[in-house]
Amino acid sequence: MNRRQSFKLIGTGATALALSPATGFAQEVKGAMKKIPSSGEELPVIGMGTWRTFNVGNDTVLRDRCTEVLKTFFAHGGGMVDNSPMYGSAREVVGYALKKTGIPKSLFSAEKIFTEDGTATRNQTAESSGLWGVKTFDLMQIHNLVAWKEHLATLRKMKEEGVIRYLGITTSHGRRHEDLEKIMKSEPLDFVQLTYNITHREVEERLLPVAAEKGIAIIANRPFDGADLFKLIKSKNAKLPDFAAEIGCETWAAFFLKFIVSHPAVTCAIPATSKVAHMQENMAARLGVMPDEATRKRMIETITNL
Amino acid sequence: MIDNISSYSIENFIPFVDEVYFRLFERHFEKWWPGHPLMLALGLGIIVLAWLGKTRALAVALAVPIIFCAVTFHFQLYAELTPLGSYFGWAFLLQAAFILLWGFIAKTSGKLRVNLSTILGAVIAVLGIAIYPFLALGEEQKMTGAQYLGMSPDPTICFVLGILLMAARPLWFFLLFPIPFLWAAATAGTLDTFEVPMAMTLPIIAAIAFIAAIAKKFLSVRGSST
Repeated sequence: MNRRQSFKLIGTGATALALSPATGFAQEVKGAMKKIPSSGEELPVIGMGTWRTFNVGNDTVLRDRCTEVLKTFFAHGGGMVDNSPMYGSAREVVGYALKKTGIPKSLFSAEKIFTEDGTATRNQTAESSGLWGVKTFDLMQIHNLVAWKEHLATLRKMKEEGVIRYLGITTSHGRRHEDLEKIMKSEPLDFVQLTYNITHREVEERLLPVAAEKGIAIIANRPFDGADLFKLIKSKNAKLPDFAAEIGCETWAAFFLKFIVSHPAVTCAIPATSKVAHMQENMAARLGVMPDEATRKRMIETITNL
Repeated sequence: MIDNISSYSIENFIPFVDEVYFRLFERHFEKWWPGHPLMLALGLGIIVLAWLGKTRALAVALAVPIIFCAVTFHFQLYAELTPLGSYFGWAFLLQAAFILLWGFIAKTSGKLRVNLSTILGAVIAVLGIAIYPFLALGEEQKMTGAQYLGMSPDPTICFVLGILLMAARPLWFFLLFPIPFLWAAATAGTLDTFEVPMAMTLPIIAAIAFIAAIAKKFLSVRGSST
């Protein structure tokens, strides 16, 4: 495919998005957006995770490279940046990068509370905002359901006070889904973050339908199953299937990400990377048409049959 | 904060990527060169002290690279990435304190008797200062990323195990073994996650040293009973 064909495909995709409100995608020529159910605010469907990739300590060489990655993310219309006190120096490094790039309007800052001390919600939020260099967070999530009852009560008050805009709760690696489902059904939440990718689709059974029913935005973490999906592709020396071009996928990264964000209940995916080239590949998943249900099945078959 | 432990893998406890970890050694090198040849000279001096059975001087000298590694690597660099850095910093300081304790209260036995465990200990110690720096260097890493005694934990622990096997009685070796073993396990987990081919080197060395210490104990019991 040449450059002109790529643009044509992107244009076709954008038109398709504009003409098909049933997909859940908003009209957006620069890339796919989805609405946060609780507010109607739009978010780019590809966000950015920072687990492992932004934990570089005081290494200025690597900090500057992270800055370039973040700059690329925003240059491609990126929005959500997700972080946690659990991620070592990642909060400081995001703060370093934001100081260098400036804080763009599109930034949707997503942090987490990660402490068993149920009274430390406000203190940890203040600590994180200091490290990021932001006044408030758009989204504050309770990491891995740790002390969730206490933190959730405080986050609710903080949301009322305008200290945060949205609240949520997270899990990963398929942990504590039963508990999470109960919380989703019983507590008002704006966001839930969970693991969802083409080889880990358990959440399709219960959690994603509950999210759709309750109007909860879904953030999909581990979109590449760590890096295991790429390892699988490499080990099988697999080539992208022909139909990938029909949905605007030129890379496996786009293939995996489009699978995730094309699920009607998923709001965005948050791949993490420390490389500019990979960020560009990730952000390309916002472009072009999104797979429909039949294509999603073909995508699953492609991976299952490797 | 950890539930359903079976769902966790070692990778979940390593919050950084391989490049960042290996860059730590390059950054340490940039900061502390030319301390490396001095540490090499100290290492050779320690082997001589062990050979001569100068236990007190040996303990003091052996504590130096451990403390230096604790402060300049674990606390100042590794702790930037993970709380394990602080934990192992304190563990290394504790190990240095234990070694000093050993040096000052253990019975001195004079010049070493040459037997299998002392030879093996010397080999492991030399491995720590002369071979480990290059053994641990990956194909894509710069020479400044090589790991040296006192500068990086792996060769330091390798060297310490060798010296203790040479110079300490088996009971002291067993008392001084847990912290080096913990680090050997931690580094193996980290390197294995990064798919480094030599990931199991340090645990294997630790296991060999431990078995040699058991053999030394067994032979000394048999020797004293006959």
